[in-house]
Amino acid sequence: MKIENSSAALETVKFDDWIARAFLWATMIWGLVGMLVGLLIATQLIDWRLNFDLPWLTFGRLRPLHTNAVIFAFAANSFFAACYYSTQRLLKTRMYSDLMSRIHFWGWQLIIVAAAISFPIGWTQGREYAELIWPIDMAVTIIWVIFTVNFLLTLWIRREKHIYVAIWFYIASILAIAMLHVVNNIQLPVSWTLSYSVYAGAQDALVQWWYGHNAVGFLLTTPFLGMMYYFLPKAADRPIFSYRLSIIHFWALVFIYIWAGPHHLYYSALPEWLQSLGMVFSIMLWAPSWGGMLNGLYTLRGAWHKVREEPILKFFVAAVTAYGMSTFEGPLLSIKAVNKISHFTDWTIAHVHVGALGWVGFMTFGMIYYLIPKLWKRPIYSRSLANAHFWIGLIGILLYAVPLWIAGVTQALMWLAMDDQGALVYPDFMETVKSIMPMYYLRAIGGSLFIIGVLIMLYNFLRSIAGVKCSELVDTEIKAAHFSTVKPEDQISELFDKEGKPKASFWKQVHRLIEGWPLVFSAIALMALMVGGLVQIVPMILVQASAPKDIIVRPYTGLELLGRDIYIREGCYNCHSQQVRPILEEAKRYGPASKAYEYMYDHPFQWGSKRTGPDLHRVGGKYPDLWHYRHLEDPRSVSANSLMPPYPWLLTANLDISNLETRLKVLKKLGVPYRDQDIEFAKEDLEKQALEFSGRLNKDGGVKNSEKKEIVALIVYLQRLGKDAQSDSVLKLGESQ
Amino acid sequence: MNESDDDKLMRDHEYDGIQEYDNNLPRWWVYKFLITIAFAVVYMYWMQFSGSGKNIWDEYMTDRTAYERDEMLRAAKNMRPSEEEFLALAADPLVLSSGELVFKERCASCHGLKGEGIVGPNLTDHYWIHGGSLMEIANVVEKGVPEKGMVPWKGILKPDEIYAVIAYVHELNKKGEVEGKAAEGEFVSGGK
Ligand code: HEC
Ligand code: HEC
Repeated sequence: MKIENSSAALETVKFDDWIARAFLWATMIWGLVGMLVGLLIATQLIDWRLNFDLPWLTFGRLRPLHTNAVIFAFAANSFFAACYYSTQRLLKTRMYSDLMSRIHFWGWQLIIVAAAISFPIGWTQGREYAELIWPIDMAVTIIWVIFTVNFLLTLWIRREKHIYVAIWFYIASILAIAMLHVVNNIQLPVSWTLSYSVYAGAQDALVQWWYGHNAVGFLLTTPFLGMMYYFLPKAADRPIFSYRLSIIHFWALVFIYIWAGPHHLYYSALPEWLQSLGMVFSIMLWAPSWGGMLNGLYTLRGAWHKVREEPILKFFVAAVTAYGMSTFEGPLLSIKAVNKISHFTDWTIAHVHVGALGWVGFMTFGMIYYLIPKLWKRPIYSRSLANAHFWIGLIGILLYAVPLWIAGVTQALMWLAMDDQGALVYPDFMETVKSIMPMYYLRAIGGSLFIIGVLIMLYNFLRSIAGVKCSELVDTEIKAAHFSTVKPEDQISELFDKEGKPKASFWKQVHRLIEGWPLVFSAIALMALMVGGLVQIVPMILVQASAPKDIIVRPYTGLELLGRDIYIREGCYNCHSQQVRPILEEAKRYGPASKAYEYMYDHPFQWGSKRTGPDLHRVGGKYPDLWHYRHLEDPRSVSANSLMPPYPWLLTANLDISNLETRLKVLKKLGVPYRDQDIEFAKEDLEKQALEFSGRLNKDGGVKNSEKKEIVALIVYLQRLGKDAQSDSVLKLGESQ
Repeated sequence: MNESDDDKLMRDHEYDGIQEYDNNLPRWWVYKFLITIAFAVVYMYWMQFSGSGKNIWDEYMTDRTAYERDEMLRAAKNMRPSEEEFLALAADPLVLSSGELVFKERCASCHGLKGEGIVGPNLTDHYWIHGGSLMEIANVVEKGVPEKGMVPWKGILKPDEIYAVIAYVHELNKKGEVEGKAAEGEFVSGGK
């Protein structure tokens, strides 16, 4: 029954190094682009003029470009590079199909280009980190399936019997992202560029944050843990600290991660049991996450002197430390009482960037420095430049995160401050923004330093590979043999002693056994991944939100709906929430706390996650129409010091009503109770409402001929927000409303 | 942690040159994990099943009830000044200058810096939609005209701020008309 490697013939295996090089190039280029867009939007918050009065350069459209570029272009390409490079070596085989690898590469880059074009145009789903419109979503699905199939077939043809922990993490990442992407993006198209999510309101929020949280988990965490498990011991030339720690923290992480999504929705209209479940699972996630950090750091025992000399290891150590910090901060932010302060503020942004710049960024940079000599056959041009990159990057991260921590806490405390007379101490929202402005400057400096580091790396890279001829870039070759196969029954019987009792190390051996059966391993991982989602999402889909008896939630009129779609197009949700939390001080500021039924026709939901501007859920009726008109044309004409971008094009662009009926029909299919005549006479109704409205604008402010303009639809939508609940007696708050 | 006492390389674990130890799990890490799991169980039980866990909405309602009770007590204490008291306030330059501050900060965005009117009506002419006496002005400022866009300031501004700004508007109107938004409402002579 012994595995006799020597008996099998040694074969020559050539690795596909081209694909790893290609993904590395893509990582570097898109990484730089994504970070530069990030810097631009950071400066837009300091000076609104940097929105340039151009639709396609406004904050609301560029922020999704930044987040998507960094997640799906920088981090994902980095994961792909690591995955292709290390998988082939860990399995002693070339990828199953070069063609599939090539399709994956070019397909993914095309998707990124499509995203980079569509976001500035305003084509978006309006759901954070899932903004891509449905045709691009389809492309993502196809490319991901090709990648998955290629990867699984490579597992099938491997020459290493057991799969190493890095591969476990790759498997979990690939399967999880496939599941998240597909479930979250179920939508009905209206046109090539517009669709409505099949989920509504609180349900949509749950599914979307199940996705959003786990996209962070399985695109920014597990792939990079896999990367760490390969590159860190390679670079340090040390054995992994503990195999059993790998097993436990892997399965714990994969199982628990999925449940934590609701921690993005505390104090929201989501049912409380889900919020509590999200909280306890987030807290339980602390130890499994730290398991990865410990296995990384302890692996370096006895190699710390190398860390001092080797920039690659410096990057890895800092990255793993950043991972440890943000996976401590994460559970901390998941405590409801802490989240009450941190939510909607820059604290969240700081948290994300410790992970993105520190963990993802530094892991990637370390890997790039490690791979240059391996893939381009040249030593690194300058180690001191690499060291300089490390220190500049590190200072950049600190200057990014620390000010935003301060900004987040400061602003939250100002929002919640109430004096003994029961009045808000800072009723003016802009006053709270002004107080954190210096922190925004520091953040922009920190971000710039980080980018300078990247530029240094690029220079170093280009100098290193200058003069490398294509003919030198030959694929790495090794000699390897197939392992001999043992019948599954015999493998299983190995677990038991002669009397049929389990052996002492039974469980570890069971695990070892499935490490030799990667497809079984994948299936179990997929099941572990699905439990959390099923328990949380299925009940939400079965139980539809319903309004109290005496309250009628009115579906949006055609005009309001088009206004809502403009709100989504302009990405207002990137600065504004639509979710007043049940917190006294917050209700005092914005109006009565929001209830789930108010969102029951919202496809998609627009709760938002960051309050760069005030909450808008109760803005309906707060100001006269004319105020909104002036405000959108030039926010500073009615609100001194505002940092909101101006939207002058809304005043001149004609409202496109061509597919109005289709929009209503699609929503009707999704359960919004439009009557047949609502759809049949949609255009007439819309024109009537628009005419009435623009007549008022004309009378009050002499605004002529606005009835066909986009701005009318948007204002009508804003004025309607939060009105359905007006007669809900539970919602009244003292005299202030 | 013991430095490598128990480091033993696992046989048969070698992947592209990477080897593995099988060290024990760090104790503190195991305890931490177990504690978080125990917390999870206890917390879920306490919140969902024990009946004593207070959920967010209940807490909010409790806070609100307390707030509304306080608000009523405050309202009783902070009775709006009588007309005479108001006129006395309007004669006090200190009150007027603090009223001016409030006006510039909170009212100017709609009524203009000089009260000449933007979205809100011109406050310097002698035409009033809701009446031009001190008490009438006080009424609008406190209760607002939400459907027209005039904010109900009571509850947003502190009582002394509101009284100061009311006094200021009254004085502003006496100072004479500023070129601005066309007159709205009825003529009230003397602004009183
Ligand atoms: C860069 C962030 C940003 C974006 C993007 C943005 N806003 Fe704002 N918004 C603000 C800030 C800051 C304020 C508070 C100051 C003010 O009133 O202008 C504000 C205020 C508002 C207000 C007044 C809220 C109140 O209660 O006083 C409305 C209404 C509003 N925005 C609507 C929109 C709409 C509609 C869009 C999209 C077309 C949008 N905003 C996009 C930052 C933003
Ligand atoms: C958001 C815009 C807005 C702000 C801010 C605002 N107002 Fe007004 N105000 C209006 C509008 C609109 C009207 C007209 C209401 C109507 O037509 O009935 C009005 C009416 C008034 C009137 C009655 C005028 C009349 O002709 O009867 C007074 C007095 C007044 N405001 C005072 C104030 C004071 C004092 C403040 C600051 C504490 C203030 N307003 C802030 C919009 C505003």
